[in-house]
Amino acid sequence: MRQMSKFWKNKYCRAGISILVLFILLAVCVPLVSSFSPTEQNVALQNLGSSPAHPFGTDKFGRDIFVRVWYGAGISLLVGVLGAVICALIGVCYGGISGYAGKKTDLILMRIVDIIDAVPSLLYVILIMLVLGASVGSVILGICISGWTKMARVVRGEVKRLEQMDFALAARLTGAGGGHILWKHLLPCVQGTILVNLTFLVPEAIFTEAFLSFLGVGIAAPAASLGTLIREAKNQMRIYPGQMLWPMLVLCMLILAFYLIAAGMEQEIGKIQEG
Amino acid sequence: MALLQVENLSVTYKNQSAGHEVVKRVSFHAEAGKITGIVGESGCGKTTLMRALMGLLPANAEVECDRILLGEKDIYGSQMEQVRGSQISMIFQEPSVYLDDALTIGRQIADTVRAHNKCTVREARRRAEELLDLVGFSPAGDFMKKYSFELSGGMCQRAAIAMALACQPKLLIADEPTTALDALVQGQILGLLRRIVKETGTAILLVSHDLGVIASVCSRVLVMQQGEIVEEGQVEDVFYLPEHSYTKELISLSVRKRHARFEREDGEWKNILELNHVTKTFGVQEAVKEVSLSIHEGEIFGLAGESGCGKTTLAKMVTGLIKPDAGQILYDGNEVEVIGKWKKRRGQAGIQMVFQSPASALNPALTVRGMLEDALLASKEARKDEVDGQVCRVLEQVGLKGEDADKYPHEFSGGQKQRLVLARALILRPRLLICDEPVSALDISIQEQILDLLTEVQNQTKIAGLLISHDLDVIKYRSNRVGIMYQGHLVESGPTEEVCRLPWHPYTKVLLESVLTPDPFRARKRKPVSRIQSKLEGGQNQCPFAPYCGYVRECCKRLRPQMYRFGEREVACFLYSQEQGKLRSSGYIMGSQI
Amino acid sequence: MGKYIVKRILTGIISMFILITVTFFLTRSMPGSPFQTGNVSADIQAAMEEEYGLNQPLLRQYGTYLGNLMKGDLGISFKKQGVRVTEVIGRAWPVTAALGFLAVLTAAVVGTLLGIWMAQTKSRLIKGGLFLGNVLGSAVPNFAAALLLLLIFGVKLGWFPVSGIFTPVHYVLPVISLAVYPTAVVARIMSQRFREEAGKEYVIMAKARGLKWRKIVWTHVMRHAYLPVLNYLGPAAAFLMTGSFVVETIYTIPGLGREFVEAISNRDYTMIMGLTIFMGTVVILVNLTVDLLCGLMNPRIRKSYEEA
Repeated sequence: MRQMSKFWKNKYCRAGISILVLFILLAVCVPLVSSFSPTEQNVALQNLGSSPAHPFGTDKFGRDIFVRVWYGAGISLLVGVLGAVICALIGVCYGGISGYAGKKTDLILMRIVDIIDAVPSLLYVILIMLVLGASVGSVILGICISGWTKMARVVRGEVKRLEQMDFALAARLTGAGGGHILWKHLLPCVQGTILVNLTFLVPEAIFTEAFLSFLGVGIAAPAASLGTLIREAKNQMRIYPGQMLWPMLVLCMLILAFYLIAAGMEQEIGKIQEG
Repeated sequence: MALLQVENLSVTYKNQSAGHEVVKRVSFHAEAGKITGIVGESGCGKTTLMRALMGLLPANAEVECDRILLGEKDIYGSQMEQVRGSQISMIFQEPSVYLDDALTIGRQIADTVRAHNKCTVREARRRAEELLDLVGFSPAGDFMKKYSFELSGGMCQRAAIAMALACQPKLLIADEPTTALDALVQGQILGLLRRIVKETGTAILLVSHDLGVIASVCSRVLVMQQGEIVEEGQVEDVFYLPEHSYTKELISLSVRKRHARFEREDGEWKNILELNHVTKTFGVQEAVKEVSLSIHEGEIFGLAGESGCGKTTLAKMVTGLIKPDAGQILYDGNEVEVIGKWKKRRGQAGIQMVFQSPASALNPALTVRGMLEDALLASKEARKDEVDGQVCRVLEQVGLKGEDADKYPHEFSGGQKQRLVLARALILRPRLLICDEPVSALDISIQEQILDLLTEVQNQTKIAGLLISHDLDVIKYRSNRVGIMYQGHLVESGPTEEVCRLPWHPYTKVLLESVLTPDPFRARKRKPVSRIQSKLEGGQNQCPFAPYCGYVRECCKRLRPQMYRFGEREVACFLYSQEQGKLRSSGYIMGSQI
Repeated sequence: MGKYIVKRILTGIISMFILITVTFFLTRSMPGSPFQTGNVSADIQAAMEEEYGLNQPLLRQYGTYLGNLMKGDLGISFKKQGVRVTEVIGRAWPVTAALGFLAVLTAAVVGTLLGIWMAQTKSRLIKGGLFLGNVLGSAVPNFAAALLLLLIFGVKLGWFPVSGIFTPVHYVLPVISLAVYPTAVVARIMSQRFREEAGKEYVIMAKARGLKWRKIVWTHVMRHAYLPVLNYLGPAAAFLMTGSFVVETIYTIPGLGREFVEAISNRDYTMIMGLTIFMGTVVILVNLTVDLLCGLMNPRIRKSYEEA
């Protein structure tokens, strides 16, 4: 945790966190404060351009795009962060156990991971979305089906490396049990790596959700996920490009913010390890 | 006649703050056909100086110099790429990491040849084979296709030397070439360097912090301290009649002082540790083969041998971290329980261990207090309210302060870290302390401090100890009895003073002699270099030391010797067997046969 | 040598089996029936279901499907009258394969060069610029990139065609859209690994031997640094396969991706299953090949097999 303050010094982290904080504020406040509802249709206001009342314009149903975009950003954030955190939890537990366990257990556990990874998970996820119907819960489930494997591999690698070190042997000599050694001695050393990977997981989850919504199997209209907005707007993009570009911009900036933070953290952790 | 002449070389590192001058206006010369040594403690700038000569320093190092004369030419400032490898070449400290493990050594040597000479691939390969033969590989052809991870440290260094000699350089710089190698192998490599100078006329600049190494092969020596040369001259003059105070200090530090050993009171001491025919095999590799020994309460037993001889494996079996394949290990009369990875385990906290590398022995994520408290609570040795007191007590016992408890390991120096490792072992009040190379990673002056601490603790607590080291000097004055291991076998054991004064096993003698002292006349007695065979004959049924033994006979190649016991001493060598001693009368008191 | 290959192939076969089974049961769990659209009365619906075998117990259907699969028969599309699934795949596969191959090639080559440049450049400006470009490339989703490129270079500037896949020029925008993210990943991996390897001791030794920097890079450094990139090609193939769904839809390209998206909207069971199984199998095979290649390239693994 003392490393947190070091991250702020990194310029990429600063940039990313600033954008992120701004977006979170907008995502929370705009739907509450705005006089327009994200779902109410008003034919009279169709396809307007940008104006002070409608900073992003309106869509073909007369809905205010500004409100819809920030409502959608909120959904993306919720799905992204929740999905990433769940994936990380599964991954850390799975990887920790596999890394510390004996050869046979490790082999079986890793084979399972290999098999899961062998198939493009999005294929499964799309099918699952069709079966379960689209909702925030099912999207998160879809993300978690195989999103945890990378974290599991990374944690397993680290734990395997650490369990051979003398301090791990010394802990065994004090009579501590395996779970205790993993939790108190080994995983604390992997904290930094886990945090960085978690921060990389969030934009991947956001991407997955947007992708699914764009394809039409994710969060469906009239709810406003960023992917859905882009999907609705793309058919009119030649005439009203703004309707598509605004949600795209917000989506890209959101993902970018997380990548900046993650890349910055990676840099800082690399420096700590070198020096 | 000076081959290399350096005038006023300075190296400054550009940092955020003011520049840090690491080498200060150094001038020296090296003679053709001779080995010139450069000696100094780590950090004095000798490696930086060598890399500056080769142009291998990183971008933030600023090099200034008046002249670097090689032969007649001034090479300073010129294209170092042409000079490197062809006129001056270099070998480094840890040969296995300095070789690329994805290419065969034959290929790497051939590449070096082709980098400086226009020749075909076949010609380069032929030259590579010649070079491998020169450095002692036989048959050379077999080793052309080997990768560095298939070779031992000594073999890697020979390959590196072959690469360095590929283009017949005038000067070879050897930067700590034997520091990472065992005593036996060190002797071989140093002998090889001497032979090369004689056969090819190449001059060598040998850098080392070890005065014994310098004394054994160099004719001239330069002493460096903090970036400056403080003394230079012929090796005999400098080592026997040092003039500069720093040189005198270095020499005195490198000879270990004699100590009064902890003598146990006579009486019946029972065995706290017993090993009976303990064996462990990893795949096809026999790590420990039928080792039997015992340690009495309150006694320090030293275990000596080179790296790879099985000492660490043995230590891990004693503590229960590894399960022996055969044999029995008894602690206080009970069999040692193997510590599984997952189960909690009580009651065996009486055996604790001090590890070699302080870097990996302390968890960087825990504070000192965290680590010590965890040890106490996990082993249920103390209640929660007693914990604080115990932590302070043990910190003071190892010479640190109570306030240090809240710091992280990286805030301590190497020697202090080792004290922390000791504290962690002692906090559980063990009765048997296993020290696996406790000081090998430290500077010599700190080594003495830590060893003194260990002796003091033992005096206070009367615990038994197993002191493991590849350096017999460490064990000589700090143990009651000693055992010598070679390739998994225990080849000799007995009271330390007797064994070290009058060794019985040929390998023990080699080990004792391999400790190089800064005494040029003594250090120069050297055995001829052995050639490395690609396939060693014999295998299972021969004495493991037979290929290198100076006293080898026919029986040694056909049978494995047993342990022959004479009073308090044991030795596994046919020289002491009944058959060999047929002519001895009964009542003959056994003495050294070598 | 044999053991490793056999083990890897076994994993591949198990993956395929799981793929087929999971796909089958998932598709069958989808709500609704393929014949429910429009004004189809309940009787006709029941009759059609019987004809297509949909009223049999699930396990029996599964068995039948597996049997047919062994014979290479993926069934008939429910929506497109009388069209065999294998026909559709045969038609659409080459297009997607071409796109995917070109995208991988672009990512591997351009990504590697960018990564090396990023690692070696001394100019802070270029380094920062490349880094930002890299982060941007990672951040823009493939469908967003595709739409943007289409809008700017296709519609507004008119430099490239916006639909179909007839001439080489038609490939440019779709391939770029697909390749953006993998290129960024490859560049990042390459840059990191290059910097790591270039600081290693064998590089210092190579310099001490007098080898030229270019030779050191290509003979020594790249040999070590390239392995993780090669490893990434497996997951990259998966990513490109799913990327083709959106890119082909946006650019109206008649490839597997577009067929899949259509099949989903139409609830065309057999198409969905057939396409999923086919695409999944291709990715499994690519992963297998890459794994074997990586294993063989590493001399440590190779040596241990030659001795065994």
